[in-house]
Amino acid sequence: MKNSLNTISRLMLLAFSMFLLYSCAKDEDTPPVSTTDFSEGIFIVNEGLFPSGSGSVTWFKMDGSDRTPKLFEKSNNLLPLGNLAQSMTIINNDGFIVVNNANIIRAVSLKTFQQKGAIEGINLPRFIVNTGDGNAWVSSWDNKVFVFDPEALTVQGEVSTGTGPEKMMKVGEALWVLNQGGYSIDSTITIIDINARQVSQTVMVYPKPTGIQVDENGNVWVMCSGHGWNGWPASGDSRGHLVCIDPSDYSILVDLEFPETDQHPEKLEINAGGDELFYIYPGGIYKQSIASANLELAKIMNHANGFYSLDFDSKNDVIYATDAGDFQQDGWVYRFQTTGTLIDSLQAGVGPTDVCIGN
Amino acid sequence: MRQLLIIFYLTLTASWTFAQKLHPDSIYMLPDVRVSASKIVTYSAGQKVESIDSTLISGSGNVGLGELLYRNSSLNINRYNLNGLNLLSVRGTTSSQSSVYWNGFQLNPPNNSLIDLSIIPANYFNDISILYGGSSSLYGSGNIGAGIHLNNKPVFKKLQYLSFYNSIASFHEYSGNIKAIYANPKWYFKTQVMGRKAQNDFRYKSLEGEYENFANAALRQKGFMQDVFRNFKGRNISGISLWYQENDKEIPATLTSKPADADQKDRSLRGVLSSKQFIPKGFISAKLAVFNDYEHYIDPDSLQVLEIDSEIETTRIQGEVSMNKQISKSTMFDAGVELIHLTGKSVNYAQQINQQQAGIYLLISQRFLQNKWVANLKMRQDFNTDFTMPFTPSLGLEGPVINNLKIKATVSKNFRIPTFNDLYWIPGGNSELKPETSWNQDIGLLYKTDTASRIDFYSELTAFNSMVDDWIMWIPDGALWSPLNIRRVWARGIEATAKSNVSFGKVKAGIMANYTYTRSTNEKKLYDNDPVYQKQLIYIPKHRFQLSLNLVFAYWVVGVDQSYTGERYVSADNTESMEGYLLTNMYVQKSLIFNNDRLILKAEILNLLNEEYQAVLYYPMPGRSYSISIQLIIQ
Repeated sequence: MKNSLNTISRLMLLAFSMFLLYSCAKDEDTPPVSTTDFSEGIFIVNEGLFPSGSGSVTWFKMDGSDRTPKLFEKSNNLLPLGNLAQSMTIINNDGFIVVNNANIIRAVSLKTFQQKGAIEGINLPRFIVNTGDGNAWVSSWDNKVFVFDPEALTVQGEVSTGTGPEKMMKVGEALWVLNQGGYSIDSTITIIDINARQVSQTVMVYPKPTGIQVDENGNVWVMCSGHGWNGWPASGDSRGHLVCIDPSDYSILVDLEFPETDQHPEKLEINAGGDELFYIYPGGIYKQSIASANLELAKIMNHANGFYSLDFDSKNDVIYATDAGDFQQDGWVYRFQTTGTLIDSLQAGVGPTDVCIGN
Repeated sequence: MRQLLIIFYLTLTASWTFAQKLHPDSIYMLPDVRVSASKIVTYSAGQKVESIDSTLISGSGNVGLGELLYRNSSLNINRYNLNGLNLLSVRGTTSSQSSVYWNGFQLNPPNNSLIDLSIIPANYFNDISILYGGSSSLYGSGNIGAGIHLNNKPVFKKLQYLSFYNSIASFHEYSGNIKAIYANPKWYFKTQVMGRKAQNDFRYKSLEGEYENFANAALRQKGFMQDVFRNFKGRNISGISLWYQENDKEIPATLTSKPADADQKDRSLRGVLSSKQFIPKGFISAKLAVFNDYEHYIDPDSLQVLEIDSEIETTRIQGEVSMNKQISKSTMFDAGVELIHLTGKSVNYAQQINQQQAGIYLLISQRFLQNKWVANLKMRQDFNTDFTMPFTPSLGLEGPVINNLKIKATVSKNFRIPTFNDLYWIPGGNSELKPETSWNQDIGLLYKTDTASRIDFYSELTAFNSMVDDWIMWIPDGALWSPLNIRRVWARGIEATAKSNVSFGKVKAGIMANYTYTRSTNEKKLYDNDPVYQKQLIYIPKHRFQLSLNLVFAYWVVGVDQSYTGERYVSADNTESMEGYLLTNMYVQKSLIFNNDRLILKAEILNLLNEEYQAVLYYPMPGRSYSISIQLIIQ
């Protein structure tokens, strides 16, 4: 009896001490406010842990040193960015981070990365384009694009688009919106008159437009990925197309067809000179000269795992490509020269999806 | 009948004794062996088997199985939010690597093999046992981590029992059930009906630090279970168990995502037909199960293209014939055949999936050294229309070392087949997948005081080790996610359990403590400098501790239970983790006796210390909450 009492009291004591131990160990350490000026640097937008994690921004100095992971959290009293960070765009001295599945666009001061405000309530926002007229546009999977005032952070209006609008580009006085298709498929570009804020034209291209660039001649190149998945053939698959469109009459000047229905090109970037295009294709990064009449399928960089996203630093003529891994661990960003020579690799957060180059 | 003023659970414990006495002539009783028992009892020598105390089950009201097990066992359960998805994670494995069985048949649906323990009312069953470690040699696929066995066992004695239960809890939870039993030496009828409704609109702290009410988390549940068994003069026991369950669950948003509007409606209809024919020194058992599960997920929140409306329907038809026979004073065997037909329908499959499986097994139990030691040799081969299935042998041994100290050891081969989603999901499904296979080893020490001793003390210490090969993971390639047999995982650890019942004069005290240490690591480098190599798997705590204490005096019961779940990594490279949390619950129960009837009043405080915590990243959990219940038992 006495023995068992001892056992019980010992167990109780153990439980109690464990309780104390864990109650004490709970204080969170708030990081000190940084004195670094973040505006000159690289901002890597990371989607975050799949499925319920929070996105993050990893900051690097231009030379790749001085890494700050979770920059937004650290600069904003540990506030997480939100689920599925999608993109970041710089407008003047502010950064605009689109957090897709949280329906929020966070505006931060680029210098301190402290949040200045936010636009909430736009459903599944994707990308932002600054039209330079005091307004910016954001695409949303509600099949709309919204125009907002980046200073006042107020939505000024909206224009309906095709299905699943994503990447956009300002071409002259028009906003070209790629309708990628959302959960289904679309093959159109919605062209919006940014002054009248209405659709001026809908251009039919090929399924799933995922990238847009303007070349040195002022022509618009659009990468259409085609229907289907890489290496997973299914009925209804279609080939990718790289098309060149004359923005004056929307006529298709060049139409380059990819060879396979289960190998899809994606994204589109252009060099500073405006004469060389880069895109992701299974196995690496490929380039295409705008002068070439045929699809070159010239691989400049091999990467077996495949890249998740592609960006370009036109100031320094550097290609940025992200490897998002399995969305369960930190991913990587690789920097290449336009020849395909690797410059370095930067450790990102979980699921790097967009790279934004600072001022 | 009226003079039988015994607690319901006592009648159930009595049923065991009764079952043993049922066929005194036809069965030669071995010490400690219940010949009429299921194979989990007879053929689990060397393995850790934990039975949930029947008083806990019967007193659990309408609480889900996940909550009951989380509070009263060493099992790790990842609870997504209050009444949200409750997924098992045992001995360093994932939820699809453990199975839940009802009357011997797997409840895990073939589409994803996941079973949500929050929507299984625990008190439907009168026997809940956990078979730790691998048990593919007994039950086939899906038994790498553990098996949870839920059973409805008949009692053939004169009994009339009627119970009405009602409870009200915080966050607008209202729940009730009715249970009726009529039994005599020939027949056993049991009818159970349950209903539960909860808003789950608890207050939580948003990431911005503001307090808000949790939204879109309501739960509505309806269920019905019927058992009918007939005892043919002790020579044959046949019966049918039917279970219909309907759940309507709103799927709430996480702290980091936009407000949610999604909803999931499930319904399951399950039936098991069984017949056990007693033969000299054994029995022949024939069983047939038909399970149908339907799931409907709707996310209307968004427009046109964004609406998700997904239906999945799966069916399991399974037949099983086995013979259990004692062939000498110390040798018993069980040989059986199983045939399984599985189907699955979903818009995400190109067509209806049909899969046929078969299993044959031979289980041998051998006693030696004056019948004090038991060795089990189990062999099972499964067959499947889609894969080559591994041969799964198992060897278990247990016996006394000194006095009341017993040693247990087991080694077994186990496996899990890929799910329909793994194989056929559009896009990404990979029909080339192989089953996951594992070798599991356990060794344990068990100390138990003699039943005659004044202090009842039980303690078990187990070390487990397993290596799982061809571990299936969904890996993205660009935007396409596909499953691959990509990992090898080494899971090992220690489980310690102690239970005791002590009397201090008129007060009876029961105490139970469980501690589990689990390491579960990736053992295959996918490339040089793979940061995941030798890192702990996500959501598997290294430390888990559970303690409960109850005091019974006169017609009062006071109980406290505590469970601690340690730090869990949430990123595969172990750079991000969530802190551990300690939950404390307390209850007071009072029984009022009116002639032969009883009224049981219970008040409970959950999360007494108001711990602010998350079990799964960014899924908030409630602080302190309350519940009161009333149960009327008429006998």
